[in-house]
Amino acid sequence: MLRVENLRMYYRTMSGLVRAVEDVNFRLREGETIALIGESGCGKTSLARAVIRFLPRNVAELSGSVVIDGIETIGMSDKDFDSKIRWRKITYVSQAAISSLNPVIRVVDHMIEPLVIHFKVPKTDAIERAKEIIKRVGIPEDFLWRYPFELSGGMRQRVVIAISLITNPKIVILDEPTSALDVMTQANILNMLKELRSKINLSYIFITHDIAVSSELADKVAVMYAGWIVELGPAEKVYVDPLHPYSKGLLGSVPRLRSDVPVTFIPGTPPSLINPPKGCRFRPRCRYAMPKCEEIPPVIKTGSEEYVRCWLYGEK
Amino acid sequence: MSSAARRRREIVRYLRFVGVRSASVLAALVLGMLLVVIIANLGGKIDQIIEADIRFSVGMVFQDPTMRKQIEERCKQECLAKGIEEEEALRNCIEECKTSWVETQVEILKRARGLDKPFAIRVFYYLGDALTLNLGRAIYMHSDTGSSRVWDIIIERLPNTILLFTTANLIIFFAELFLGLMLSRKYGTILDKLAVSLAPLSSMPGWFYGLFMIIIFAFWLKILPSGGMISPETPPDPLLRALDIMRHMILPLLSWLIAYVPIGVYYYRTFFLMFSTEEYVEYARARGIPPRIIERRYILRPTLPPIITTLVLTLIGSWMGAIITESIFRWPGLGSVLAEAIARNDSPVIVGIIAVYAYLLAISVIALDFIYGIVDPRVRVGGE
Repeated sequence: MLRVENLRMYYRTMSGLVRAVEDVNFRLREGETIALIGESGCGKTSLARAVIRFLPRNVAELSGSVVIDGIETIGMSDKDFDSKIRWRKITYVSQAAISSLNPVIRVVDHMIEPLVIHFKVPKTDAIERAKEIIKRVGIPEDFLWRYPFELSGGMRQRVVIAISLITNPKIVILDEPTSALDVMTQANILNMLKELRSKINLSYIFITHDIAVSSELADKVAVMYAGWIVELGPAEKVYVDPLHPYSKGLLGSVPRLRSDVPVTFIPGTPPSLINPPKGCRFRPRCRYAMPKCEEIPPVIKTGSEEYVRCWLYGEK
Repeated sequence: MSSAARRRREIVRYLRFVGVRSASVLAALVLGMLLVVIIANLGGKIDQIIEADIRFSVGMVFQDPTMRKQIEERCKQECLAKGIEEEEALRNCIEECKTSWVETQVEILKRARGLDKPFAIRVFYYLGDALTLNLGRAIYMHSDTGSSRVWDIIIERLPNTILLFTTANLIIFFAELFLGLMLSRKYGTILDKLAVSLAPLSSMPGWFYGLFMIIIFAFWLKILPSGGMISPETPPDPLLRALDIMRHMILPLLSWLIAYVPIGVYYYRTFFLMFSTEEYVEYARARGIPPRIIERRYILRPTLPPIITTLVLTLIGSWMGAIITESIFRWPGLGSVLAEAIARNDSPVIVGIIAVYAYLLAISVIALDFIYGIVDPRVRVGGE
């Protein structure tokens, strides 16, 4: 469904090249969900934006391979990408969904836009489809005629999800879809996402810094640190028994109710992506750092589609 | 609640809103006009000036020997009728009679002008006249056709003012808007940098560039007229006249464009740049919505209220003309009438021009409220 290989994206800024995404590999099958977790600024959103090609102006390099539904998209012209991939195969639920709706046009206008623009569907048919989809995300049909400011935050989030579902995509990228919502709304949305997935066989790329939320949905987990995926593996394995020292630290920092295990944290701050540390990027904060870590750690396969990037697991 | 009841309640709420709004605008209008009336009359000082004028013009009668003789003869007859014959007494009587004649004439003329009541009371008559647009007659000025009615003076000049300044402001507004929008798309390019560096051109007013335009195009190249609105030798054919007027409009228009477009382009470029980084614009881009639709639906639509406000206020503002530009280009507009009225203390003309302006402004402010409601659904709600 989706295959990302050696994906690399650099930004050009006043102070130098930002290595936001470097040598990222993962696969996503139909109906599968991958969670990208990590601290803010670790490159999760950049990765997602590279996949759906929603790039800032200052991209300096975008290379590697992104194959969506059998089509290689890196190197494709913007026009082809827009007409073949964007919103047909893959859609995106933006990070700030609450302010992602145009305040002066109705919900229905937002929803039919992709159909009318990308598929040239007649307006009346598009409205019928919008009615169907809005019910699917749990909003009454007559809310279509409201303006965004007349909806609550949770409803706006649902509308944005509805916009990303209206064209029947195979993959939906959810960029922190619940982080601005209260817990009850969060739970509602997560349940809705689960239900949608089982009903229409969607694949999700779920980006979050909230590990508890990601564990609700994820089949696979990719832990990102400073532009790298430092560990990739099945959810049950990564959550229970993480390999990479960073994953251990990250999961250890999740508070547990009524448990004697103290909440830990990782000392230090994530490195600058303009001037990352030599060798392993986690080295300066790592408890297990050793001289070898001054060399770039290899990708060490720990299963058919699992890997970890750490010298601890290196043979040499 | 049934939809009919909700609708009814909405209409009532809307009417109440419009009522309150109109009342407050009207109150501001009355207060503003009262101030204008007081200031235009120099707080009553004009009365003394006019009275002195009247006294002077009545006194002028005695400069005319035949008139003086007539009056003196009539006074003599009156005094003789009273039986005064002694020479000294007769002369005194005639002088007294002449003075009282002058006073009577002055009183009559003052009453004719309405000056017999104290200023504090008359202010309200003036205010009432201004508010009912009963603009009366000018004290000294008159229109080119000789009428001293303030309406005639205004109506005669208004088309000229609209022709030049409203046209200029419309061109400037749309040039600013569309060039700004275009540049916001090309942020950081050479074109954008050039436009930004041109912005300081606007630190000089339009008439300043007008001087250069006249020197270059009228005196040096001799291809365009230096001023005026129509050449006297133009035949009365309407087409030829229109062409000639357009020729006269080129230089003032050009100088205003140079003076006012650069800063406006800069303003709108920054304005649109700011709004094109809104989250909903970004997300529309992520959805692959074509740039033209993004511009129209996601950038222009949400920003329409401030844009329309600027447009309406610019158009209203152009009604008064521009005093200096008009005098440099000898353009017969309202600006020069206003300037002359202020210089000559012709209060009815000042009050008249400003009263019409105030009404236009008040109507636009109320109309803008309606327009906001139409273009921006957020304004429409106004709380449950």
